[in-house]
Amino acid sequence: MKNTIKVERARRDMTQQQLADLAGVSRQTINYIETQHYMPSAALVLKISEIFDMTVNELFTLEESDRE
Amino acid sequence: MKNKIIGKVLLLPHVYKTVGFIVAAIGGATLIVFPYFHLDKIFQSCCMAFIVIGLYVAAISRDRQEDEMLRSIRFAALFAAFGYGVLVVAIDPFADLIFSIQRKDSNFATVLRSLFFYHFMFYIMKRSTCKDSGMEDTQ
Repeated sequence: MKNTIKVERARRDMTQQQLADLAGVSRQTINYIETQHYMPSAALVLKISEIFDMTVNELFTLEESDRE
Repeated sequence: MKNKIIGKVLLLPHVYKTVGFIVAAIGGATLIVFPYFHLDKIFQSCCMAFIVIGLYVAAISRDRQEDEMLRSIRFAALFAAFGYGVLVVAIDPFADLIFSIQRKDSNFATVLRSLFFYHFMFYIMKRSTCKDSGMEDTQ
């Protein structure tokens, strides 16, 4: 699952720590989501999209391998 | 939003992690010096219980910042430790036959090894995430 969290974060001049604090997770978790090493839960996905004031589909997109 | 299928995993507060390791260390240290003081069997059993309970309490204690990724790491470590325990129990009788060892306290040893393996796996997996996130920092 691809995501544009890093881009959106940079656009808002936000650090990983700031986003982590807002989402209530650790900085490592945010880093792992950004680098696509960890697939977040639906609750966290909704929380992050709420923080960026975007829809989930704008932030996260499924890859071909996810559809199999 | 609550997960009704899995429910809330009951974990102790973070401070119990330290308490658990201290209890286990006291038990372990006493067990090491035990042969020198010729203490009785009951006391030895108490020390063994201290080690196992201490490590278990540490295992079921929250981390400083417990979040969903850490929970998945915890689950993976627990899964690995359980697998390790099953493997040890399956292989041990054959190892005993081959090397003809008459082992005592096999229950204690199995639980202890599984607990150690759990802590080891949890630490390794957690360290690897911290290491990776340290390379690619905040911005």
